[in-house]
Amino acid sequence: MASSLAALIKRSQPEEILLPVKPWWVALTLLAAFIFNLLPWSGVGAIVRPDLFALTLLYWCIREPRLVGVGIAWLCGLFTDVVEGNLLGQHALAYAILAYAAEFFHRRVLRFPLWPQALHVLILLLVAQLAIVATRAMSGAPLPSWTIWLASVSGALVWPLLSILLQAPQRLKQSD
Amino acid sequence: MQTNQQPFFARGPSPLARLTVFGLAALVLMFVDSRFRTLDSVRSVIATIVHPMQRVAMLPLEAWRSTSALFESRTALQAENQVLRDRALADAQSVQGYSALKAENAQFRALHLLRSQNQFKGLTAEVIQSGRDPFAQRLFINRGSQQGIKAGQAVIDSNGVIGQVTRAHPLVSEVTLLTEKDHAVPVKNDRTAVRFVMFGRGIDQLPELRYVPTTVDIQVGDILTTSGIDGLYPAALAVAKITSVSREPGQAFVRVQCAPLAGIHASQYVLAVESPPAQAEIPAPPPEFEKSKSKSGVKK
Repeated sequence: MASSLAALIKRSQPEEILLPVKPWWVALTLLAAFIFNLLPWSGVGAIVRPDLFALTLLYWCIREPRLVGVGIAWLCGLFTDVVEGNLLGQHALAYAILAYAAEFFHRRVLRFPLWPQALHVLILLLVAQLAIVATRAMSGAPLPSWTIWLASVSGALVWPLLSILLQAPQRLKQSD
Repeated sequence: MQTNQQPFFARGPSPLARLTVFGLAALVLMFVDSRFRTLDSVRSVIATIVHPMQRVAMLPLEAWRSTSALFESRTALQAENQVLRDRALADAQSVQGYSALKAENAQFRALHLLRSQNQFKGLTAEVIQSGRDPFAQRLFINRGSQQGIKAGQAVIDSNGVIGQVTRAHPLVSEVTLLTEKDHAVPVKNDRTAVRFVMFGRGIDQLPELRYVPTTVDIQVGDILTTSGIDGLYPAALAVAKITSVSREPGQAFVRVQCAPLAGIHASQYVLAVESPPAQAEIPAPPPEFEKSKSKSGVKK
């Protein structure tokens, strides 16, 4: 299983030709990621769990900038703010920044294999998190402990796996 | 030359323009949301849309619980049963004493023409999600305004107060925990009946009592209960236990830290307690006072 996964990561080259994406698949994956974020976690898991919703948004912003952009990311952020009971607009701002950065970088990022892509993703996630921390600090909240940044690191770590999962329906049938 | 600058594909406004518009919209939202409560209806609408997804997100945990309950061993169940029976027996004594005391208290109150203390009613709820946000000391429960939850109600578990309902959406409500920064709870020391206000201090910090004069009798181990004078928390709910008292010379107030008694982040089932009926109105000032006040007002 692990070896086949590694092979898949290696095989998933940037120049690979994919079938066109179906919009319902984009919507479905976003919904699933949103529900994943709602799962109740505790202990260490609660600290290191990645923000899968942001990650999925980022993936579609990079892959399909025509379909998913700043506006949709903003709306998704608003939903996240409501379910987390935050100040409205906090995640909306962060996700909009994330989508903008993705749109800016999408040609560059896709040139790289998956692991170097993950490095780019790490930086983008950290920027988005920084936006959240900054808005929180402006509204008077105390600075959190350094462990919150682990969520971005774990997000970057699951990026290759997530990419493979999300593009699975777009792969050409194994004919070679 | 102008035509050459037109993009080949029409893509709407540039990403930067869109980011500016949406970013500004987000900043305005944040400002409005922090200053006014006008956006609560928007919140309620979104919370209702999202509710089915929250239910779906709870399914794995529920499935895990029901399967583990299925395989729970006979001996474990028996042991638990024994513990519960012992506790019921221990409680029986105090409950019997309690009903006698209650009757006596009611008589005394009637004699002294005091407003009778109402028994509080509660609504059990399940914690459906404790937010992802590491800053916020907040959780969501699966009851909302449709079940009669109102903003301001106290939320308790079997050991004490957890927090307070801050927003009641139609199907879920948002509970702010005691540990939220600057969240205040009016309490009183059970041993001495001195009243204080307890303030939360945010993540990983124990709440503290502020403005405690150095002369006050307060000790480590004292239990704090709600004083009930704010009209939101019913009186006599257990809140916290004092863990440290430090009197520093030169300081006007004592630094008092306390640990909440309830399993703030651990409890799965909670009780949203109905707020006590509105406080008695402040009696109207005597007519002479009113007259002199209006006179002085005219003079000015």
